Amino acid sequence: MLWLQILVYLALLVFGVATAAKIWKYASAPIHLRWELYPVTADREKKYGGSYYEEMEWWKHVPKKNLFHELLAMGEEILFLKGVYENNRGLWYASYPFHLGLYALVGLIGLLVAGALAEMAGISVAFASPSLIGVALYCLTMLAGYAGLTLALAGCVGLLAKRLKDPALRPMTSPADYCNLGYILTLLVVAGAAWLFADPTFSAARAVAGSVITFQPLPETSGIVMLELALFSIFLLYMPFTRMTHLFAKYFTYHKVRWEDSPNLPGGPWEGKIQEVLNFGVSWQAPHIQTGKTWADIATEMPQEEGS
Amino acid sequence: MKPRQEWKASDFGMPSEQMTELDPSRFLKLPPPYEDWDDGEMQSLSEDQKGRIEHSLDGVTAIGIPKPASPEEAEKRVADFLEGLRKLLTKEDNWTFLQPLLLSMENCVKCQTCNDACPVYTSSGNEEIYRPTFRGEVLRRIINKYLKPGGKVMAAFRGNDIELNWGTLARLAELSYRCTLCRRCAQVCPIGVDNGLITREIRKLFSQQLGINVDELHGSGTVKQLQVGSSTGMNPTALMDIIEFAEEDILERTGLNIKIPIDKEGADYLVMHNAGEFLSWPENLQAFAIIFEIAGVSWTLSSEQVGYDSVNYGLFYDDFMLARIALRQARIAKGLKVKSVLQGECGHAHKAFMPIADRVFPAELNVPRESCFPLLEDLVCNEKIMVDPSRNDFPVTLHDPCNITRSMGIVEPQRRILRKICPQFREMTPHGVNNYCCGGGSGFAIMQGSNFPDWRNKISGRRKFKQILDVFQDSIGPETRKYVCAPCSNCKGQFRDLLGHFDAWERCRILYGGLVELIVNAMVDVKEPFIEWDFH
Repeated sequence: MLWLQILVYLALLVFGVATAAKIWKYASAPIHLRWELYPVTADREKKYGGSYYEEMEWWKHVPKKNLFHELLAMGEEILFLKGVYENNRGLWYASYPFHLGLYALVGLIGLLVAGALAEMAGISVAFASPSLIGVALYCLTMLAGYAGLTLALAGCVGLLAKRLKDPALRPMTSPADYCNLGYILTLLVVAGAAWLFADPTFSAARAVAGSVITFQPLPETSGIVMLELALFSIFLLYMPFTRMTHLFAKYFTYHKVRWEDSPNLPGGPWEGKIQEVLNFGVSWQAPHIQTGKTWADIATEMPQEEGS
Repeated sequence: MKPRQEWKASDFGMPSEQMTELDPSRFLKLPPPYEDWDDGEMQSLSEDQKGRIEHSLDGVTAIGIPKPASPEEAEKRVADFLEGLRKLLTKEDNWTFLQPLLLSMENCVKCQTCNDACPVYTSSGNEEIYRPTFRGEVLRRIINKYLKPGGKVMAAFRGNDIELNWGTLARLAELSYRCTLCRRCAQVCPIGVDNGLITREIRKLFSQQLGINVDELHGSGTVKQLQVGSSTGMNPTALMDIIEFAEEDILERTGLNIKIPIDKEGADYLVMHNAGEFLSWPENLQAFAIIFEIAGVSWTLSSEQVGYDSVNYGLFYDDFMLARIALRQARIAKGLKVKSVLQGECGHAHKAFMPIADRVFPAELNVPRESCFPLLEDLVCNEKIMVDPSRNDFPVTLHDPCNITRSMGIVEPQRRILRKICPQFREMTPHGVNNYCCGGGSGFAIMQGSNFPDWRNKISGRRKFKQILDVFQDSIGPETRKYVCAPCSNCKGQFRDLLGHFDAWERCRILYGGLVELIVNAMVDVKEPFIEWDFH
């Protein structure tokens, strides 16, 4: 079982590092030219998509960023896949249960860890537990597990069918995309079999979670639960290298691009950042660009091809 | 040639005379009186052009890329392209859009939610290569296969199967000019991926690294503007003649003796118009002058090169040309010591000079910049000029320029004006931030080379033409004059061609024009009707 323990920690490490690296890559990118799409969420009074540019002397009317409104809009997107529902209903019928199921299964992992911690604290996690916390953890775990599995399975099958049959999706789907969905389907089927036939109350899974967080050897358990754990670990290993990271990227596409909506006002925070990027060296080579100079130099000179 | 719907991104590098043949019988159907409209065949290139110019995408040419003289030249261009692609992915060379580009390149799940939002794709009868995701997918595969370590290992399995050769590049360059950058695709994307941006970045890569761009945008566009003063070729002397003519014309048409202020230091507003207004639609320039003079607005035009032309085609294809023009305009405004620069009725000039250039202005050139629409709303709705709406008692609809609405959020001021001055104002569906592009966006309106205008009129403008017909269905016959208010110079250029192509003035009496013309037409201080009902 040592190999499995190593695989689990390796998967967690790679997942954590690769995900953090990807987030850092986006977060550390330099400022960019503004590229909003309205409506932005900051101004709830202008739900039709209006902005401060609708005002005379608009610089006196720039609304303050409202994180709550942004989170509300993101919440609608994440919890209900609102955009897909409104613009691609056929896909939503498969995509929504899939995503909702995955959210529940991510929740399941949290509940297994919480359950393991509770048991370490002497709280029995069971339906007949004397502790309310134990009962709640037990019930929520069962709900998240089985509901999540059912929804994710149904959605995954639906997505595979859509990709195979839909003439709009098929030409854009690679063998790797099918394998990816196929792998998730296999993982879900194995997990379902493990829960139904070997670990119906998630006690083994909870024990595994407990051993992982306490760096103890994995408990002896059935082969199918081990297979489930191995498949899940492999999934964690490759997930950050796929487009599934849209989960994290979405924060940036919305908050840092579509809804950024932050003008460069005199004396404001953008001035220093702009000065910094204007000093970047340039190596573009078309005739109208004086390669080797800074961005600011090139932007203030005439095109080179005209001999100025 | 393969059947149109079977094309995949992996076929993009396969040699063939022409990837796809556009089939007009599949184009978007139009409502009455165009149910039986015959689009005819797509205009094809002459044999001579076919021999000289790259056309292997769809038989249309926007750029007119000459074929390489030798295999060695083709290879060199491919190598240059790859070098440029690397630059596109570095922060020094592409700080301007690196973050949004990476986000869009790495996170598209190809769910195709964007397809139905695209007016080009849907108008063409769902032509596979016009899918919003198609050109991004081609670029993504090139990056994954040719720039990433181990990219060629199991490339087909990983969905990176594409051959990079000169044909691939020529097609990709052309394909980047089959999208109007309207960004409806981005607006419906649940992840926030922006295929419009990817398209612009492809154009930029070709321009900034290989010097491949559209002459109307670059040589006869931004370069001419910087050298002569305007992409129209209008120099300061010609400007003064045009201004003099405009003053005489105002006097003749309205009896108002108005002196258009030039280079007035310390004015509240430096008004910048698209120079197309001076030459093609002088009534727009005149209407602004009438409104501002009667309302007592403190304003001026500039006679300095570039200062009298708000155009900035750099927005569509090249960051440096964009910045050069914006910085020059800002410097002129500073020199005149005006309180603010007011953008006239030009969508891309609004976007280029206000939000986009916002981050290329060093502190000393960060001049205040405003849209004309809030000011016009103030003048009309707060009755600083008096209007009689009955003078505009004909069907009017509003075309929303993408750059003003979806990209800047200026949606209501122009509507509040129209509701006040046009009793028969009605909205298209959809409108506002969800509008459809006129079909001339991203420079298409001024691109008149070869067979591109035929493509533009039949495909990229088709959705908008359908919207216009739909909104006027209650009075579609030629007995009722109808007005499409298009407060954008480029959109008006597109409507001139589009309505002309479909003979919509003769068949339906549909005229297009700006917003200020409607305002002046309703002003009680102007005795005669200002709008002249002749198509031009």
